[in-house]
Amino acid sequence: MTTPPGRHAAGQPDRDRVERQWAEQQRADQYRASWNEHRNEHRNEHRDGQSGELEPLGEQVWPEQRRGDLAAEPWVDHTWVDRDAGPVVRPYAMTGGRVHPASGSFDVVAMVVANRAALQDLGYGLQPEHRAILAYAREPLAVAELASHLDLALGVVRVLLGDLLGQGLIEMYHPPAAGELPSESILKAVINGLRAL
Amino acid sequence: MDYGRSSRPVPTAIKILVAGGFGAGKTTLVGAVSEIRPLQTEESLTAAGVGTDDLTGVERKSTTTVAMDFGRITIGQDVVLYLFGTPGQDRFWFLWDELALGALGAVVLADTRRLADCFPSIDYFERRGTPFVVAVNCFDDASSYTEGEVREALDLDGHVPLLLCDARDRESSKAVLIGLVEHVLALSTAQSPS
Repeated sequence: MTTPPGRHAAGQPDRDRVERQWAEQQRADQYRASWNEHRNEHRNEHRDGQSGELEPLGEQVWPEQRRGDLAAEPWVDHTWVDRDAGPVVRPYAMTGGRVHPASGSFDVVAMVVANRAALQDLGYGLQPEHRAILAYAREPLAVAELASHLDLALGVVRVLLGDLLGQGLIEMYHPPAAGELPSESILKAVINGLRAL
Repeated sequence: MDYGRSSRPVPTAIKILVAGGFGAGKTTLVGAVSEIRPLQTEESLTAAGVGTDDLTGVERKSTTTVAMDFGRITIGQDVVLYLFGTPGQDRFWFLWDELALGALGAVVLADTRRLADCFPSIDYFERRGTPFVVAVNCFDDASSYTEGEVREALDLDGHVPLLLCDARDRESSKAVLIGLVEHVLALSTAQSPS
């Protein structure tokens, strides 16, 4: 396998590179300033009734660049994650920044079922995402399936499930513990079941 | 405190991993046997990924799985199999440990055009002691090797089953899963003769 130069290169930020980035940023600032100047002039022309179309006010548009092109934003020095990694922080906004569930542990195939307390709407302080989980979990559903249906990261779903478990709104059914194989009869049932598919 | 729950009994969930190199057919195999359209979190391979992913021999693949995708097979009322395609790139290995915990076993898909791609998966499961089978996905344009040749190239332990399959074919993929569960069963009876 070839390793693209630089992407995984570890080590100290070298001085030249920092200097280059600084120069790059200065140029960008200059460019932005002159662009704004140009726009303002243009707008005045319009007000004088001489020429030009009306351009919407508001934030100046930065020239379009291809997504994921790190060179487009040389002042962003995050070699470990680029834009195409998707949102890495925002999902946890809905957990109030919590990344660990307040209670319980949740394997990807642990089964979640909403219980009677949930059906009677006894929860308090629930967010829409909590309610969505309870709605899906009227029938037993695996944690991974919940995350997929809700289009939320697994980590986020675990935190939300921890909240629900803490309030006694769900019951969890855990898969066989690690290192503990299912019984022989289950394995035989699986083999026969697969053959019969 | 026993709250009433829905009428359906809660089935036992069994987790099976599908591993292998980039483009070896993991998603295809999961899709071939799953009863639901595989649920997936995929991100398209962009300019940033070209160069990171070695595309020799798999040029036509336009996206790669960077999170994970999974399928489901319900066996009767009591058991549900979940098949998880493991993230195919080295930089997502951290997801594996969580997945491998409590897994029944794993299918390592091998592509004979790029056999070395599945070495890390085999190493991983050997180290963890997770039961696994190796399934050679027979691509149309791959030259055919005998089972012995592949086994030798992979330096497989004698007891690890090696199967030939076509990941697009449901029956063939089913046979791979059956092979895995039989292997696990054989291991468990060997451990505790009763």
